[in-house]
Amino acid sequence: MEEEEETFYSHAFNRQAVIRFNQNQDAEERRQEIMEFTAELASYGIRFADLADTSPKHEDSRILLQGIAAKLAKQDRLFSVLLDTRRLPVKELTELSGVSRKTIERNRKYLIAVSLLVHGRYPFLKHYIHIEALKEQIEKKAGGTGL
Amino acid sequence: MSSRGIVMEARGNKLVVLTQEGSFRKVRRLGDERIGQEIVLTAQRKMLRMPKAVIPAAVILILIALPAFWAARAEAHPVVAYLSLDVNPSFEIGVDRELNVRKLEAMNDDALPFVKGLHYEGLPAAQVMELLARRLAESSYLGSGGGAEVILAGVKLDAGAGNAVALLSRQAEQALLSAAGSAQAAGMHVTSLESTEAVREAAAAKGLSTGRMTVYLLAKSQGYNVSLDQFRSGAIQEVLSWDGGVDALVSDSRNIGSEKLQEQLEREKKAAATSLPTGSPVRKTSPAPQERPAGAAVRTQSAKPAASPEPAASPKPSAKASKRDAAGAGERSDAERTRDSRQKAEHRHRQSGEHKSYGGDLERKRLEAEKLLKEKAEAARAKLDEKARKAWEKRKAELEEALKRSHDEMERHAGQKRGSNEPR
Repeated sequence: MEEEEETFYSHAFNRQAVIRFNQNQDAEERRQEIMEFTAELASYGIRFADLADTSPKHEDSRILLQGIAAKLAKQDRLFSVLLDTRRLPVKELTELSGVSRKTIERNRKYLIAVSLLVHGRYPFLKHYIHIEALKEQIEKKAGGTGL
Repeated sequence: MSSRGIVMEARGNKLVVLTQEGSFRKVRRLGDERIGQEIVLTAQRKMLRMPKAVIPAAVILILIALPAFWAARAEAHPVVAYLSLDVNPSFEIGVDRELNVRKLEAMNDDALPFVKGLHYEGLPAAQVMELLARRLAESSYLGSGGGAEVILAGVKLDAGAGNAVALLSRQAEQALLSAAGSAQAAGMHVTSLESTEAVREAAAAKGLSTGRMTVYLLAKSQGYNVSLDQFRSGAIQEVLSWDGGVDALVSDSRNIGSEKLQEQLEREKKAAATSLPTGSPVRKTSPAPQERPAGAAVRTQSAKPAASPEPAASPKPSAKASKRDAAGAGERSDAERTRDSRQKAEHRHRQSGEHKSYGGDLERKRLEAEKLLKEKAEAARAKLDEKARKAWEKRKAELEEALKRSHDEMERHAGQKRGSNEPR
Protein backbone atom coordinates (compact mmCIF):
# COMPACT_ATOMS: atom_id res chain seq x y z
CA MET A 1 0.00 0.00 0.00
CA GLU A 2 2.69 2.37 1.03
CA GLU A 3 4.75 1.37 -1.93
CA GLU A 4 1.84 1.86 -4.29
CA GLU A 5 1.31 5.32 -2.96
CA GLU A 6 4.93 6.13 -3.38
CA THR A 7 5.02 4.97 -6.93
CA PHE A 8 1.88 6.89 -7.67
CA TYR A 9 3.38 10.08 -6.37
CA SER A 10 6.62 9.57 -8.09
CA HIS A 11 4.77 8.83 -11.26
CA ALA A 12 2.78 12.01 -10.97
CA PHE A 13 5.91 13.92 -10.17
CA ASN A 14 7.61 12.51 -13.19
CA ARG A 15 4.71 13.41 -15.43
CA GLN A 16 4.82 16.94 -14.23
CA ALA A 17 8.53 17.11 -14.74
CA VAL A 18 8.14 15.82 -18.24
CA ILE A 19 5.46 18.39 -19.01
CA ARG A 20 7.56 21.14 -17.55
CA PHE A 21 10.54 19.89 -19.50
CA ASN A 22 8.55 19.80 -22.67
CA GLN A 23 7.25 23.29 -22.06
CA ASN A 24 10.74 24.57 -21.54
CA GLN A 25 11.86 22.72 -24.57
CA ASP A 26 9.03 24.29 -26.56
CA ALA A 27 9.88 27.74 -25.36
CA GLU A 28 13.51 27.26 -26.27
CA GLU A 29 12.56 25.97 -29.71
CA ARG A 30 10.19 28.86 -30.25
CA ARG A 31 12.90 31.27 -29.34
CA GLN A 32 15.26 29.57 -31.72
CA GLU A 33 12.68 29.70 -34.49
CA ILE A 34 11.98 33.38 -33.94
CA MET A 35 15.68 34.22 -33.93
CA GLU A 36 16.09 32.43 -37.24
CA PHE A 37 13.13 34.26 -38.69
CA THR A 38 14.54 37.54 -37.43
CA ALA A 39 17.85 36.81 -39.15
CA GLU A 40 16.20 35.89 -42.40
CA LEU A 41 14.11 39.05 -42.42
CA ALA A 42 17.19 41.08 -41.60
CA SER A 43 18.80 39.82 -44.80
CA TYR A 44 15.95 41.57 -46.61
CA GLY A 45 16.46 44.70 -44.54
CA ILE A 46 13.26 44.19 -42.60
CA ARG A 47 12.80 44.56 -38.86
CA PHE A 48 9.81 43.60 -36.76
CA ALA A 49 9.34 47.22 -35.82
CA ASP A 50 8.89 48.08 -39.52
CA LEU A 51 6.35 45.33 -39.84
CA ALA A 52 4.44 46.63 -36.85
CA ASP A 53 4.29 50.05 -38.48
CA THR A 54 3.28 48.85 -41.93
CA SER A 55 1.27 45.70 -41.46
CA PRO A 56 -2.31 46.06 -42.67
CA LYS A 57 -4.77 47.25 -40.07
CA HIS A 58 -7.96 45.94 -41.63
CA GLU A 59 -8.82 42.31 -41.49
CA ASP A 60 -9.92 42.19 -45.13
CA SER A 61 -6.70 43.54 -46.49
CA ARG A 62 -4.70 41.40 -44.09
CA ILE A 63 -6.38 38.23 -45.35
CA LEU A 64 -5.93 39.36 -48.95
CA LEU A 65 -2.24 40.02 -48.48
CA GLN A 66 -1.72 36.76 -46.61
CA GLY A 67 -3.30 35.00 -49.56
CA ILE A 68 -0.98 36.72 -52.01
CA ALA A 69 2.04 35.91 -49.84
CA ALA A 70 0.98 32.26 -49.65
CA LYS A 71 0.59 32.11 -53.42
CA LEU A 72 4.05 33.59 -53.81
CA ALA A 73 5.47 31.01 -51.41
CA LYS A 74 3.81 28.17 -53.28
CA GLN A 75 5.04 29.12 -56.74
CA ASP A 76 8.65 28.06 -56.77
CA ARG A 77 9.48 30.08 -59.87
CA LEU A 78 8.29 33.35 -58.32
CA PHE A 79 9.70 32.56 -54.93
CA SER A 80 13.14 31.86 -56.36
CA VAL A 81 13.00 35.33 -57.92
CA LEU A 82 12.45 36.72 -54.45
CA LEU A 83 15.27 34.65 -53.00
CA ASP A 84 17.70 35.53 -55.78
CA THR A 85 16.98 39.21 -56.23
CA ARG A 86 15.69 39.98 -52.72
CA ARG A 87 12.88 41.82 -54.45
CA LEU A 88 9.25 41.01 -54.97
CA PRO A 89 8.31 39.97 -58.48
CA VAL A 90 5.80 42.79 -58.48
CA LYS A 91 4.57 42.41 -62.05
CA GLU A 92 3.92 38.73 -61.74
CA LEU A 93 2.21 39.20 -58.42
CA THR A 94 -0.16 41.81 -59.79
CA GLU A 95 -1.05 39.45 -62.64
CA LEU A 96 -1.44 36.54 -60.27
CA SER A 97 -3.54 38.25 -57.65
CA GLY A 98 -5.29 40.99 -59.58
CA VAL A 99 -4.42 43.74 -57.08
CA SER A 100 -2.78 46.95 -58.09
CA ARG A 101 0.94 47.43 -58.23
CA LYS A 102 0.61 50.14 -55.63
CA THR A 103 -0.94 47.79 -53.11
CA ILE A 104 1.84 45.28 -53.61
CA GLU A 105 4.53 47.90 -53.24
CA ARG A 106 2.94 49.52 -50.24
CA ASN A 107 2.83 46.21 -48.39
CA ARG A 108 6.14 44.97 -49.65
CA LYS A 109 7.58 44.20 -46.26
CA TYR A 110 4.52 42.39 -44.98
CA LEU A 111 4.30 40.30 -48.14
CA ILE A 112 7.94 39.29 -47.93
CA ALA A 113 7.66 38.47 -44.24
CA VAL A 114 4.59 36.29 -44.61
CA SER A 115 5.82 34.47 -47.69
CA LEU A 116 9.13 33.72 -45.98
CA LEU A 117 7.20 32.46 -43.00
CA VAL A 118 5.03 30.20 -45.15
CA HIS A 119 7.89 28.90 -47.23
CA GLY A 120 10.45 28.51 -44.51
CA ARG A 121 10.82 25.99 -41.73
CA TYR A 122 8.93 27.73 -39.01
CA PRO A 123 6.46 25.11 -37.83
CA PHE A 124 5.60 26.76 -34.60
CA LEU A 125 4.97 30.23 -36.04
CA LYS A 126 3.09 28.85 -39.01
CA HIS A 127 0.91 26.89 -36.71
CA TYR A 128 0.36 29.87 -34.48
CA ILE A 129 -0.97 32.22 -37.09
CA HIS A 130 -3.08 29.58 -38.79
CA ILE A 131 -1.14 29.80 -41.97
CA GLU A 132 -1.39 26.04 -42.21
CA ALA A 133 -5.09 26.30 -42.87
CA LEU A 134 -4.43 29.05 -45.37
CA LYS A 135 -1.96 26.87 -47.17
CA GLU A 136 -4.35 23.99 -47.39
CA GLN A 137 -7.02 26.23 -48.71
CA ILE A 138 -4.71 27.47 -51.41
CA GLU A 139 -3.58 23.97 -52.22
CA LYS A 140 -7.17 22.91 -52.55
CA LYS A 141 -7.89 25.82 -54.83
CA ALA A 142 -4.82 25.10 -56.89
CA GLY A 143 -5.82 21.45 -57.20
CA GLY A 144 -9.37 22.46 -58.11
CA THR A 145 -8.29 24.62 -60.99
CA GLY A 146 -5.82 21.99 -62.10
CA LEU A 147 -2.74 24.12 -61.59
CA MET B 1 -7.91 44.08 -27.48
CA SER B 2 -7.92 40.77 -25.82
CA SER B 3 -6.27 38.69 -28.48
CA ARG B 4 -2.96 36.92 -28.01
CA GLY B 5 0.43 37.26 -29.59
CA ILE B 6 3.96 35.95 -29.49
CA VAL B 7 6.75 38.27 -28.56
CA MET B 8 9.01 38.58 -31.59
CA GLU B 9 11.16 41.46 -30.49
CA ALA B 10 11.77 43.12 -27.15
CA ARG B 11 13.53 46.43 -27.14
CA GLY B 12 13.46 48.99 -24.38
CA ASN B 13 9.92 49.29 -23.09
CA LYS B 14 8.41 48.17 -26.36
CA LEU B 15 7.51 44.75 -27.68
CA VAL B 16 6.65 43.66 -31.17
CA VAL B 17 4.23 40.78 -31.15
CA LEU B 18 2.84 38.59 -33.88
CA THR B 19 -0.86 38.08 -33.29
CA GLN B 20 -2.82 35.00 -34.12
CA GLU B 21 -4.42 36.87 -36.98
CA GLY B 22 -1.00 37.26 -38.52
CA SER B 23 -0.40 40.93 -37.96
CA PHE B 24 2.48 42.57 -36.19
CA ARG B 25 1.86 45.03 -33.39
CA LYS B 26 3.85 47.24 -31.10
CA VAL B 27 2.77 47.00 -27.48
CA ARG B 28 4.02 48.22 -24.18
CA ARG B 29 6.34 46.05 -22.14
CA LEU B 30 5.08 45.42 -18.65
CA GLY B 31 7.61 43.02 -17.13
CA ASP B 32 10.49 41.00 -18.45
CA GLU B 33 8.71 39.29 -21.32
CA ARG B 34 11.04 37.14 -23.36
CA ILE B 35 11.10 36.46 -27.05
CA GLY B 36 8.91 33.52 -27.92
CA GLN B 37 6.60 34.04 -24.98
CA GLU B 38 2.91 34.28 -25.62
CA ILE B 39 1.17 37.23 -24.07
CA VAL B 40 -2.38 38.45 -23.87
CA LEU B 41 -2.90 41.81 -25.48
CA THR B 42 -4.77 43.66 -22.78
CA ALA B 43 -5.82 47.26 -22.80
CA GLN B 44 -2.95 48.24 -20.54
CA ARG B 45 -0.51 47.08 -23.18
CA LYS B 46 -1.88 49.51 -25.68
CA MET B 47 0.71 52.02 -26.80
CA LEU B 48 -0.16 55.64 -26.34
CA ARG B 49 0.16 56.85 -29.83
CA MET B 50 -0.79 60.26 -31.11
CA PRO B 51 -2.36 60.24 -34.54
CA LYS B 52 0.19 61.70 -36.93
CA ALA B 53 -2.15 64.43 -38.16
CA VAL B 54 -2.47 65.81 -34.64
CA ILE B 55 1.22 66.64 -34.25
CA PRO B 56 1.46 69.59 -36.67
CA ALA B 57 -1.81 70.95 -35.37
CA ALA B 58 -0.46 70.84 -31.84
CA VAL B 59 2.74 72.57 -32.88
CA ILE B 60 0.81 75.33 -34.61
CA LEU B 61 -1.41 75.74 -31.60
CA ILE B 62 1.59 76.11 -29.34
CA LEU B 63 3.19 78.61 -31.70
CA ILE B 64 0.05 80.69 -31.65
CA ALA B 65 -0.45 80.43 -27.93
CA LEU B 66 3.11 81.24 -26.86
CA PRO B 67 3.24 84.92 -27.90
CA ALA B 68 -0.15 85.45 -26.36
CA PHE B 69 1.13 83.89 -23.18
CA TRP B 70 4.20 86.08 -23.17
CA ALA B 71 2.15 89.14 -23.92
CA ALA B 72 -0.14 88.32 -21.03
CA ARG B 73 2.86 87.96 -18.77
CA ALA B 74 4.31 91.26 -19.93
CA GLU B 75 0.92 92.93 -19.43
CA ALA B 76 0.97 91.93 -15.81
CA HIS B 77 4.05 94.07 -15.22
CA PRO B 78 4.12 96.89 -17.74
CA VAL B 79 7.09 99.17 -17.92
CA VAL B 80 6.05 102.51 -16.42
CA ALA B 81 9.37 104.33 -16.41
CA TYR B 82 12.74 104.23 -18.08
CA LEU B 83 16.06 105.35 -16.75
CA SER B 84 18.81 105.98 -19.24
CA LEU B 85 22.24 105.60 -17.72
CA ASP B 86 25.24 107.04 -19.57
CA VAL B 87 28.67 106.45 -18.18
CA ASN B 88 30.30 105.79 -21.39
CA PRO B 89 28.60 102.51 -21.81
CA SER B 90 24.97 103.52 -22.11
CA PHE B 91 22.12 101.51 -20.66
CA GLU B 92 18.41 101.79 -20.47
CA ILE B 93 16.51 100.29 -17.62
CA GLY B 94 12.75 99.85 -17.76
CA VAL B 95 10.90 99.31 -14.50
CA ASP B 96 7.37 98.40 -13.57
CA ARG B 97 5.17 99.97 -10.93
CA GLU B 98 6.99 98.19 -8.11
CA LEU B 99 10.35 99.41 -9.40
CA ASN B 100 11.28 95.92 -10.50
CA VAL B 101 13.36 95.76 -13.63
CA ARG B 102 11.46 94.54 -16.67
CA LYS B 103 13.83 95.65 -19.37
CA LEU B 104 17.53 96.25 -19.56
CA GLU B 105 19.10 97.22 -22.83
CA ALA B 106 22.56 98.13 -23.95
CA MET B 107 22.40 101.37 -25.93
CA ASN B 108 25.89 101.11 -27.39
CA ASP B 109 28.51 98.46 -28.05
CA ASP B 110 30.47 99.30 -24.94
CA ALA B 111 27.49 98.39 -22.84
CA LEU B 112 26.88 95.01 -24.41
CA PRO B 113 29.29 92.95 -22.28
CA PHE B 114 27.78 94.38 -19.10
CA VAL B 115 24.26 93.41 -19.97
CA LYS B 116 25.18 90.01 -21.31
CA GLY B 117 24.37 87.21 -18.93
CA LEU B 118 22.84 89.52 -16.37
CA HIS B 119 19.66 88.22 -14.85
CA TYR B 120 17.48 91.18 -14.20
CA GLU B 121 13.91 90.17 -14.99
CA GLY B 122 11.74 91.01 -12.01
CA LEU B 123 14.58 91.98 -9.69
CA PRO B 124 14.42 95.25 -7.76
CA ALA B 125 15.95 98.13 -9.72
CA ALA B 126 18.32 99.02 -6.90
CA GLN B 127 19.77 95.52 -6.94
CA VAL B 128 20.24 95.45 -10.70
CA MET B 129 21.86 98.85 -10.72
CA GLU B 130 24.20 97.82 -7.93
CA LEU B 131 25.24 94.85 -10.01
CA LEU B 132 25.77 97.01 -13.06
CA ALA B 133 27.69 99.59 -11.09
CA ARG B 134 29.96 96.94 -9.62
CA ARG B 135 30.68 95.58 -13.08
CA LEU B 136 31.38 99.07 -14.36
CA ALA B 137 33.73 99.74 -11.46
CA GLU B 138 35.55 96.48 -12.12
CA SER B 139 36.15 97.57 -15.69
CA SER B 140 37.32 100.92 -14.31
CA TYR B 141 34.71 102.91 -16.13
CA LEU B 142 33.95 104.77 -12.95
CA GLY B 143 36.58 107.32 -12.28
CA SER B 144 39.58 106.59 -14.41
CA GLY B 145 41.29 109.81 -15.36
CA GLY B 146 39.71 112.56 -13.37
CA GLY B 147 36.34 111.19 -12.49
CA ALA B 148 33.50 109.83 -14.52
CA GLU B 149 30.76 111.91 -15.99
CA VAL B 150 27.48 110.14 -15.51
CA ILE B 151 24.19 111.22 -16.97
CA LEU B 152 20.94 109.81 -15.70
CA ALA B 153 17.82 110.59 -17.68
CA GLY B 154 14.47 109.40 -16.45
CA VAL B 155 11.40 109.04 -18.61
CA LYS B 156 7.97 108.52 -17.16
CA LEU B 157 5.61 106.62 -19.43
CA ASP B 158 2.67 106.37 -17.13
CA ALA B 159 1.12 109.12 -15.09
CA GLY B 160 0.58 106.52 -12.38
CA ALA B 161 4.29 105.98 -12.05
CA GLY B 162 4.39 108.69 -9.39
CA ASN B 163 7.88 109.61 -8.33
CA ALA B 164 9.36 106.45 -9.78
CA VAL B 165 11.79 108.41 -11.89
CA ALA B 166 13.17 110.43 -9.02
CA LEU B 167 13.50 107.30 -6.93
CA LEU B 168 15.25 105.47 -9.72
CA SER B 169 17.74 108.26 -10.25
CA ARG B 170 18.54 108.36 -6.57
CA GLN B 171 18.99 104.61 -6.45
CA ALA B 172 21.25 104.67 -9.49
CA GLU B 173 23.34 107.45 -8.05
CA GLN B 174 23.73 105.63 -4.77
CA ALA B 175 24.64 102.40 -6.52
CA LEU B 176 27.27 104.10 -8.65
CA LEU B 177 28.78 106.02 -5.77
CA SER B 178 28.98 103.02 -3.50
CA ALA B 179 30.46 100.85 -6.22
CA ALA B 180 33.05 103.41 -7.20
CA GLY B 181 34.72 103.52 -3.81
CA SER B 182 35.51 106.64 -1.89
CA ALA B 183 38.47 107.81 -3.99
CA GLN B 184 36.71 107.49 -7.29
CA ALA B 185 33.40 108.68 -5.96
CA ALA B 186 34.98 112.01 -5.09
CA GLY B 187 35.84 112.56 -8.74
CA MET B 188 32.61 111.24 -10.10
CA HIS B 189 30.00 113.60 -11.31
CA VAL B 190 26.43 112.48 -11.65
CA THR B 191 23.86 114.56 -13.47
CA SER B 192 20.21 113.70 -13.17
CA LEU B 193 17.78 114.83 -15.81
CA GLU B 194 14.14 114.34 -16.51
CA SER B 195 13.22 113.69 -20.07
CA THR B 196 10.08 112.91 -22.02
CA GLU B 197 8.80 109.98 -23.94
CA ALA B 198 9.01 111.89 -27.22
CA VAL B 199 12.67 112.55 -26.62
CA ARG B 200 13.23 108.89 -25.86
CA GLU B 201 11.58 107.87 -29.10
CA ALA B 202 13.53 110.42 -31.11
CA ALA B 203 16.73 109.20 -29.47
CA ALA B 204 15.90 105.62 -30.33
CA ALA B 205 15.26 106.64 -33.93
CA LYS B 206 18.66 108.29 -34.09
CA GLY B 207 20.40 105.44 -32.26
CA LEU B 208 21.26 107.51 -29.21
CA SER B 209 20.59 107.01 -25.56
CA THR B 210 17.92 109.17 -24.02
CA GLY B 211 20.49 110.85 -21.81
CA ARG B 212 22.65 111.93 -24.72
CA MET B 213 19.69 113.09 -26.72
CA THR B 214 18.40 115.12 -23.82
CA VAL B 215 21.74 116.81 -23.26
CA TYR B 216 21.97 117.50 -26.97
CA LEU B 217 18.56 119.12 -27.02
CA LEU B 218 19.37 121.14 -23.94
CA ALA B 219 22.57 122.34 -25.51
CA LYS B 220 20.72 123.25 -28.66
CA SER B 221 17.98 125.11 -26.85
CA GLN B 222 20.58 127.13 -24.99
CA GLY B 223 22.20 128.17 -28.21
CA TYR B 224 25.24 125.90 -28.23
CA ASN B 225 26.38 124.83 -31.60
CA VAL B 226 26.61 121.07 -31.52
CA SER B 227 25.79 118.30 -33.91
CA LEU B 228 24.14 115.00 -33.20
CA ASP B 229 27.11 113.08 -34.52
CA GLN B 230 29.24 114.50 -31.79
CA PHE B 231 26.88 112.96 -29.30
CA ARG B 232 26.63 109.67 -31.02
CA SER B 233 30.14 108.62 -30.12
CA GLY B 234 32.60 109.77 -27.55
CA ALA B 235 32.14 110.72 -23.97
CA ILE B 236 29.85 113.58 -23.13
CA GLN B 237 32.40 115.46 -21.09
CA GLU B 238 34.56 115.68 -24.18
CA VAL B 239 31.73 116.93 -26.29
CA LEU B 240 30.94 119.81 -24.02
CA SER B 241 34.35 120.41 -22.57
CA TRP B 242 34.79 123.76 -24.27
CA ASP B 243 32.09 125.45 -22.33
CA GLY B 244 31.92 124.50 -18.70
CA GLY B 245 30.75 120.96 -19.32
CA VAL B 246 27.41 119.47 -18.74
CA ASP B 247 27.11 121.24 -15.48
CA ALA B 248 26.74 124.67 -16.95
CA LEU B 249 24.20 123.28 -19.30
CA VAL B 250 22.16 121.45 -16.77
CA SER B 251 22.41 124.00 -14.02
CA ASP B 252 19.27 125.64 -15.29
CA SER B 253 17.79 122.57 -16.92
CA ARG B 254 15.50 122.25 -13.97
CA ASN B 255 13.62 125.35 -14.98
CA ILE B 256 13.84 124.52 -18.65
CA GLY B 257 11.42 121.69 -18.18
CA SER B 258 9.90 119.30 -20.58
CA GLU B 259 8.06 121.93 -22.66
CA LYS B 260 11.30 123.45 -23.79
CA LEU B 261 12.69 120.04 -24.63
CA GLN B 262 9.58 119.31 -26.60
CA GLU B 263 9.89 122.60 -28.41
CA GLN B 264 13.49 121.91 -29.38
CA LEU B 265 12.57 118.42 -30.51
CA GLU B 266 9.85 119.83 -32.72
CA ARG B 267 12.31 122.27 -34.19
CA GLU B 268 14.73 119.45 -34.90
CA LYS B 269 12.06 117.47 -36.62
CA LYS B 270 10.99 120.40 -38.71
CA ALA B 271 14.54 121.08 -39.72
CA ALA B 272 14.97 117.48 -40.73
CA ALA B 273 11.76 117.64 -42.73
CA THR B 274 12.75 120.78 -44.65
CA SER B 275 16.14 119.42 -45.51
CA LEU B 276 14.59 116.25 -46.85
CA PRO B 277 11.61 117.20 -48.95
CA THR B 278 11.51 113.85 -50.71
CA GLY B 279 12.10 111.33 -47.96
CA SER B 280 10.44 110.87 -44.65
CA PRO B 281 11.98 113.11 -42.04
CA VAL B 282 12.86 110.50 -39.45
CA ARG B 283 14.32 107.35 -40.80
CA LYS B 284 16.04 104.95 -38.53
CA THR B 285 18.43 102.87 -40.53
CA SER B 286 19.73 104.53 -43.67
CA PRO B 287 22.85 106.53 -43.00
CA ALA B 288 22.17 109.47 -45.29
CA PRO B 289 19.25 110.98 -43.37
CA GLN B 290 21.27 110.71 -40.20
CA GLU B 291 23.95 112.81 -41.68
CA ARG B 292 21.63 115.33 -43.11
CA PRO B 293 19.50 116.31 -40.14
CA ALA B 294 22.68 117.40 -38.41
CA GLY B 295 23.42 119.72 -41.28
CA ALA B 296 19.82 120.74 -41.48
CA ALA B 297 19.70 121.63 -37.85
CA VAL B 298 22.68 123.82 -38.38
CA ARG B 299 21.00 125.48 -41.29
CA THR B 300 17.98 126.47 -39.22
CA GLN B 301 20.31 128.14 -36.88
CA SER B 302 21.81 130.17 -39.65
CA ALA B 303 18.30 131.17 -40.63
CA LYS B 304 17.70 132.49 -37.18
CA PRO B 305 18.42 136.14 -36.44
CA ALA B 306 21.79 135.19 -35.07
CA ALA B 307 23.39 134.56 -38.43
CA SER B 308 26.74 135.80 -39.58
CA PRO B 309 26.76 139.45 -40.58
CA GLU B 310 29.47 139.35 -43.24
CA PRO B 311 27.96 139.02 -46.70
CA ALA B 312 31.26 137.80 -48.15
CA ALA B 313 30.76 134.58 -46.25
CA SER B 314 27.84 133.58 -48.42
CA PRO B 315 29.36 132.73 -51.80
CA LYS B 316 32.30 130.97 -50.27
CA PRO B 317 30.57 128.04 -48.62
CA SER B 318 28.20 127.71 -51.52
CA ALA B 319 31.16 127.40 -53.81
CA LYS B 320 32.31 124.64 -51.57
CA ALA B 321 28.93 123.01 -51.80
CA SER B 322 28.87 123.08 -55.58
CA LYS B 323 32.36 121.75 -55.65
CA ARG B 324 31.12 118.92 -53.53
CA ASP B 325 28.41 118.25 -56.07
CA ALA B 326 30.94 118.09 -58.86
CA ALA B 327 33.50 116.08 -56.98
CA GLY B 328 31.10 113.54 -55.54
CA ALA B 329 31.02 111.83 -52.21
CA GLY B 330 34.74 111.91 -51.56
CA GLU B 331 34.80 115.52 -50.52
CA ARG B 332 31.55 115.49 -48.67
CA SER B 333 33.04 115.26 -45.23
CA ASP B 334 35.46 118.03 -46.06
CA ALA B 335 32.70 120.37 -47.09
CA GLU B 336 30.77 119.44 -43.99
CA ARG B 337 33.71 120.29 -41.85
CA THR B 338 34.24 123.69 -43.37
CA ARG B 339 30.61 124.40 -42.93
CA ASP B 340 30.85 123.39 -39.31
CA SER B 341 33.72 125.73 -38.74
CA ARG B 342 31.70 128.49 -40.34
CA GLN B 343 28.92 127.74 -37.91
CA LYS B 344 31.33 128.02 -35.07
CA ALA B 345 32.33 131.41 -36.30
CA GLU B 346 28.71 132.40 -36.40
CA HIS B 347 28.32 131.12 -32.91
CA ARG B 348 31.15 133.28 -31.70
CA HIS B 349 29.63 136.29 -33.37
CA ARG B 350 26.35 135.64 -31.75
CA GLN B 351 28.00 135.36 -28.37
CA SER B 352 29.67 138.69 -28.81
CA GLY B 353 26.27 140.21 -29.35
CA GLU B 354 26.21 141.27 -32.98
CA HIS B 355 22.64 140.55 -33.82
CA LYS B 356 21.47 141.22 -37.32
CA SER B 357 18.46 139.86 -39.06
CA TYR B 358 18.90 139.00 -42.68
CA GLY B 359 19.47 135.29 -42.21
CA GLY B 360 16.72 134.21 -44.62
CA ASP B 361 18.06 136.59 -47.25
CA LEU B 362 21.49 135.16 -46.83
CA GLU B 363 20.23 131.65 -47.31
CA ARG B 364 18.51 132.64 -50.55
CA LYS B 365 21.62 134.35 -51.83
CA ARG B 366 23.67 131.34 -51.01
CA LEU B 367 21.34 129.09 -52.96
CA GLU B 368 21.43 131.43 -55.93
CA ALA B 369 25.19 131.53 -55.92
CA GLU B 370 25.25 127.79 -55.71
CA LYS B 371 23.00 127.49 -58.75
CA LEU B 372 25.06 129.97 -60.73
CA LEU B 373 28.25 128.15 -59.97
CA LYS B 374 26.73 124.89 -61.02
CA GLU B 375 25.73 126.36 -64.35
CA LYS B 376 29.20 127.78 -64.84
CA ALA B 377 30.76 124.46 -64.08
CA GLU B 378 28.45 122.83 -66.60
CA ALA B 379 29.42 125.33 -69.28
CA ALA B 380 33.08 124.88 -68.50
CA ARG B 381 32.75 121.16 -68.83
CA ALA B 382 30.98 121.52 -72.19
CA LYS B 383 33.75 123.82 -73.40
CA LEU B 384 36.33 121.38 -72.21
CA ASP B 385 34.57 118.60 -74.04
CA GLU B 386 34.64 120.60 -77.26
CA LYS B 387 38.33 121.32 -76.84
CA ALA B 388 39.08 117.70 -76.16
CA ARG B 389 37.14 116.61 -79.24
CA LYS B 390 39.11 118.98 -81.44
CA ALA B 391 42.39 117.89 -79.95
CA TRP B 392 41.47 114.28 -80.52
CA GLU B 393 40.58 114.91 -84.13
CA LYS B 394 43.84 116.67 -84.69
CA ARG B 395 45.76 113.85 -83.12
CA LYS B 396 43.81 111.32 -85.12
CA ALA B 397 44.69 113.08 -88.38
CA GLU B 398 48.32 113.12 -87.35
CA LEU B 399 48.30 109.48 -86.53
CA GLU B 400 46.67 108.58 -89.80
CA GLU B 401 49.22 110.66 -91.64
CA ALA B 402 52.06 108.91 -89.84
CA LEU B 403 50.57 105.51 -90.53
CA LYS B 404 50.18 106.27 -94.16
CA ARG B 405 53.73 107.49 -94.37
CA SER B 406 55.16 104.41 -92.77
CA HIS B 407 53.02 102.25 -95.00
CA ASP B 408 54.33 104.01 -98.08
CA GLU B 409 57.85 103.58 -96.84
CA MET B 410 57.37 99.88 -96.34
CA GLU B 411 55.91 99.60 -99.77
CA ARG B 412 58.83 101.41 -101.26
CA HIS B 413 61.27 99.30 -99.31
CA ALA B 414 59.65 96.12 -100.55
CA GLY B 415 59.73 97.47 -104.09
CA GLN B 416 63.41 98.20 -103.77
CA LYS B 417 64.06 94.68 -102.52
CA ARG B 418 62.07 93.20 -105.33
CA GLY B 419 63.89 95.51 -107.75
CA SER B 420 67.24 94.45 -106.45
CA ASN B 421 66.27 90.75 -106.53
CA GLU B 422 64.88 90.65 -110.02
CA PRO B 423 67.95 91.61 -112.01
CA ARG B 424 69.91 88.76 -110.47
